Amino acid sequence: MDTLIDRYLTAVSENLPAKLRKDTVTEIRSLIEDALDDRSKAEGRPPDNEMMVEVLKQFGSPQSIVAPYLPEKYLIGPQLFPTFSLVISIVLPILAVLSMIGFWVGHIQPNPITGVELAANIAKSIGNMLSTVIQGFGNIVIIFAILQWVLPDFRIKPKEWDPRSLKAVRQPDKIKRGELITEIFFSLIGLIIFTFYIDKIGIYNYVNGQWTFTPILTSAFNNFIPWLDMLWVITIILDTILLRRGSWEVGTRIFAIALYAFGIGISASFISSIPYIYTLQGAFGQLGGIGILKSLVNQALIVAFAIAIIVNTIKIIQMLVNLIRGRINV
Amino acid sequence: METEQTIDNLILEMRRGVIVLAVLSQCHEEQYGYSLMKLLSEKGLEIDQGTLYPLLRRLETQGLLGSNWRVEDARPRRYYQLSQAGQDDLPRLIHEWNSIVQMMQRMLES
Repeated sequence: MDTLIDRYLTAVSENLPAKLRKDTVTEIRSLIEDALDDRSKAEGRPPDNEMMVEVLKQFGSPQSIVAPYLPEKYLIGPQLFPTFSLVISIVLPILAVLSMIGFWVGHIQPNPITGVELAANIAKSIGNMLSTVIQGFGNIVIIFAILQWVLPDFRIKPKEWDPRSLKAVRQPDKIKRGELITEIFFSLIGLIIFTFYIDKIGIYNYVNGQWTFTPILTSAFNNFIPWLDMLWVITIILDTILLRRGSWEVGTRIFAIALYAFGIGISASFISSIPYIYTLQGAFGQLGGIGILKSLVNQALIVAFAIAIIVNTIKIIQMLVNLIRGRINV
Repeated sequence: METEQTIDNLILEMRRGVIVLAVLSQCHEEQYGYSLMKLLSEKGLEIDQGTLYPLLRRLETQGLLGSNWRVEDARPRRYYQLSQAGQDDLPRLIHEWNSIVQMMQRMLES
């Protein structure tokens, strides 16, 4: 029949690495037996089950006695963790942006989309982005966990450090007045032109001593004007608040995140409707290869709106980071 | 209560710092784990099994201790003793310890 010591040593053995098992278990057995002998002599009676319980209690649970024999185990150890953080901070935002672009380019539709479709697509694109980011995070963790396992002493040799290379202290709450004033100016220009002079946007030609004008924006573009006006008005309101307050605060940051998300929605909606918001037929209809020209302009516009989405996504991420940091530092 | 716990932890940390030297200093002669634990206890250093035995293994891996198995009283025992490297390095560790003690005395007296 097995004793409590046998059971204890079996449990210890199960928790030890194979190469340490035999030696360590033999050594611990002799130590327990020595301790038992000592106790037996001290108490003047032969060892019994109760005494074994007391001695084993002194030794601690099998897991606790084994723990110091085991090397420290990490999924990603402290040596690799700074590199892991760096990779995460670079790769995840890129994945988020690529996912957004991929989604909206893949949702170019033959007809201009409605507000409900736009809202549904925004929700889908955010879900898609989160899913991509989580998958990316998981994959990076797996790669680093494998690196940790294969190369437990992996370490990137740090460069020689120079205090002069230290970055200036961040002032995330400080506003840039010049940028805000420029933004207000251009928002006003956009608002005025697209509200009052929309019919003046087109191609002007000087032919036979006479100016001719051909509009290029279609009626489909007109559907966007209220949204664009709203975007510019909100931008002007936000920038004015910021200029008055003198710094970023929680409220203005949340306001800005909503504004940038709105901007992403409008850009995405433009990408979905690009072929229908303008026409070159009237201006260049007489030229050959109008189809190729239109295709080139479409692609250029997709790139332009994709850049707008990227910029707004980066701004949202920055705002969120500053918002969270601000909350943590409070 | 919180402070009491903090102080206990600090004392534990300080005592941990002396364990390596204490163990090495008692291994001029062969010792097995249990006898060493008793020897240290007699001299005032209580140390639990979970700390001592892995430490003996580590010091052996580092080459400061050597070990061999012997059967005594029908019981296999692993005996540890200072290796040649351990004998060479121990005086340096003792010297360093004395310097630390003197430094701390100067610091605490002032």
